[in-house]
Amino acid sequence: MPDRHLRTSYKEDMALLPNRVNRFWLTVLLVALVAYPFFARTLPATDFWIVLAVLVLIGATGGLGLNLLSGFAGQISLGHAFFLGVGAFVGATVATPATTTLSGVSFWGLGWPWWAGALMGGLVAAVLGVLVAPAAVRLRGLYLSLVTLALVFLGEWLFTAPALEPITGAVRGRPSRPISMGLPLLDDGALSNNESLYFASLMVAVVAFVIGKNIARSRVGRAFQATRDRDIAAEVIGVNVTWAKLTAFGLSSFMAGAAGYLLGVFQSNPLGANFGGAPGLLISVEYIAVIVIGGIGTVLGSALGAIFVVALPELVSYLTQQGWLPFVAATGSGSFDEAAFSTILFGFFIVVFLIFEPLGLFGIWLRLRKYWKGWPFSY
Amino acid sequence: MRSRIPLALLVALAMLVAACGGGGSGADTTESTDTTEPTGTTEDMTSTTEAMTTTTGGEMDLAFDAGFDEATGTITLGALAALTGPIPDIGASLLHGHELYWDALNGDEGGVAGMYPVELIVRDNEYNPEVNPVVYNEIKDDVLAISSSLGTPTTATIFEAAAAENILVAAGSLASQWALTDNVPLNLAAGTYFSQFANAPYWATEIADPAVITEDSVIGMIYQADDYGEDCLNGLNFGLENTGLELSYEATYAATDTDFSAQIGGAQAAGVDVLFVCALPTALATMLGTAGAIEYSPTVLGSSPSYNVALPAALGQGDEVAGIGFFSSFPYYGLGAGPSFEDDTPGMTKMRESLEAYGADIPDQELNAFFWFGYAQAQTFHQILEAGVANGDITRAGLLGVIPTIQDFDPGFGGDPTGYGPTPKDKIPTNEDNIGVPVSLSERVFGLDPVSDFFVAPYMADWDPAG
Repeated sequence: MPDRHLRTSYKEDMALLPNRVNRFWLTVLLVALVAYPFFARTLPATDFWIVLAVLVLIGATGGLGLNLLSGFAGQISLGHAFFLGVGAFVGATVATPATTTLSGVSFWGLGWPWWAGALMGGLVAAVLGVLVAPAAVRLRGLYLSLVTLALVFLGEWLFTAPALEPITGAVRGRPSRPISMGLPLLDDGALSNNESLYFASLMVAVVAFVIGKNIARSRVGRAFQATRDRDIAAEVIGVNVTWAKLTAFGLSSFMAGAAGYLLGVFQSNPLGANFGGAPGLLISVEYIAVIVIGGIGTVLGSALGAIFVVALPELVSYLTQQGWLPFVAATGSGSFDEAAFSTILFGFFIVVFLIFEPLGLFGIWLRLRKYWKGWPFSY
Repeated sequence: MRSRIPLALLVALAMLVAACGGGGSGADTTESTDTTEPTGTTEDMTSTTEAMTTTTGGEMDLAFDAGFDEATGTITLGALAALTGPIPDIGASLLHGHELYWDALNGDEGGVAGMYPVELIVRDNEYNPEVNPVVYNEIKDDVLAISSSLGTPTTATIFEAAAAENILVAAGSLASQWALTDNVPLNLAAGTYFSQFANAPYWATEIADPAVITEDSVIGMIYQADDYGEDCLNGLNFGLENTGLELSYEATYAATDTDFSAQIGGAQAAGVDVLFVCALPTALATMLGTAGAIEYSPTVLGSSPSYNVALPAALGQGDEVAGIGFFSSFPYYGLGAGPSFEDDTPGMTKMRESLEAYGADIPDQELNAFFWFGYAQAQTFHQILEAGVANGDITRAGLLGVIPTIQDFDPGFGGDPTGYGPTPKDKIPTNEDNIGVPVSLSERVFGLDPVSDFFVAPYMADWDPAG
């Protein structure tokens, strides 16, 4: 009987879930993710744990988009926040009914289901991403990053332009309707808005990771990686580099758009100014941190990075408030407080990962997995 | 076959989608859903907490649900303060003013109605719309209400979710849009951004001597690109329209911008000689510094949160007198100046006494208009709690119900008595305003010397926030 980890055919090598161990742990993970909000109901501050998971799932989806573009295809982007913003406003317009406020501000809206908001937010962002892609065909490295940087400043104008007020709300932001779901298995069949948003985010993330995993192991992923490693050589061996870059931008923007829609729902009143200019740049940099810490060029790393970057500051804050970090003071106390501790921890881990573990958390995961595979032997 | 197990879970997730009721409840599809202007009424809201009753002093039952400890009688409130991020100084001042009021109430009177001490749970919202919902959700189950949530854009991210659970959220914000909600009561002692800017043209043309705005003035405005700035802009347009003036130039900036060359240069190019500014202190300082550098000195009228006692020293590079001279060179007028720390009004006298008794650890630089605002906001919330106790009901829904009954309350800071009511217009406690100019902190602790009494432009009677 062959070793369970020995792949003896190309078909096995290409399988999404090559063995029983993979399938078992994926099943456990999915069950745990579905059960999470119901477990959270038993915890104090239930909604805190749910919204924290929502932000992680949104960060993982958006992070995966950036990882496909930068990690797999090697195209640096500082404009990720622009596509998140596009998704937030397009998705809100699609999934929120048209409305006129008491003070007379009218918003366009279709009132379609939430998944249509995520889909359309993603599609429109993807179209815009594909429009940007031709610049990537001619540019690379710092020059490309400057072009994508321009996107966040374009977004600052676009998202607050008075002419687009019916879509973006201009300077005031626009409403993004809460997601509401029912679950027949429950007694009252109802999920709270936060739980509904969690399941919506989970579904989008699952779809995104299935797409990401498929791309990473298939012809498209290999084309991305060939383009990243040496685009001229890739072209010589028959890879259509232009097509690869176009696809990478499209896919990345699609995932950012879908994540942006969910982020808009989370914020309930997404504000254009937060997705453009300096705040937008900050968001883009955070997503870069997600893939650097999680693992550049890995699918799982996007999720691990999101857990670290998104959840860490909130967890530090929570643990401090609960008195579990006695050496850290409450924010605003003037001494070594939770905000300072989070910032130091964040910077420390980025430096450590870049120097000692370039593959990020995914690299640590790989080493742990290898260790347990051989356990109790060290080889 | 085995590979279908995860697939089955995906199908189960898909079935969950199928079970979903679309993007929202059926009722939502026909109602206005603007998160800044909800249409739900108190009756529409559904509480998720179960009400209980306790007997108080053996005389009457008090209904309660969340944020009340029956054993100790302690009422727990939440405060979402901006202790880091772009405005930590404002956040700290406002929070410490807020805490001082509750400390003094607990220490001097034993708490609400003399028997229910108030405890605060504080979280840092970083003035960040993404962080505010997280910290709100962290504490909401443990509190009766949020007695302070700093920021207009930040509060906009939570107030609808709070309304669904009947939770009151007092915004650390003077945006008039809150009058369109049922669960965000405005500060009883302060006017709105709208009223600051709507009143200003009246003061500048009719009260100020000599007039600050004449018919030859070219008027411009720079404002923060969010709800806060838009409220200022709407107010100014209303005021200008009613005084026969017009706005010749307007420019926006993002809250995190640090360079205002384009906005200031644009105003100079447009020939603006009266410039209204709706900003935060750091932005105002940079704008004035930029204007000074290009030798442009329009008369500047700034919103109340745009001035901070630390600005003169900062602009004068450590020399406060030079900084005040710099402000005077424009000149600069602070709208919504509010009361002065030195006033002999009952409210300010009480605040000074409280500060002496309970404020030993509050730094001097935090004694400013924001400190007073936080203090007055707690005073507002105190009135709501008193009304709830008097009504025998401090459940979340009970508190929402008593707000319109608060009438003719005198905050004690020199303005007319204020209160709430059932309509958006009634929910604006006051349209009164006063104007101040920067002076040394040795003269005025809050840094602004009032150059007008409290006043209201006559046309403000025609203003209805509902349009």
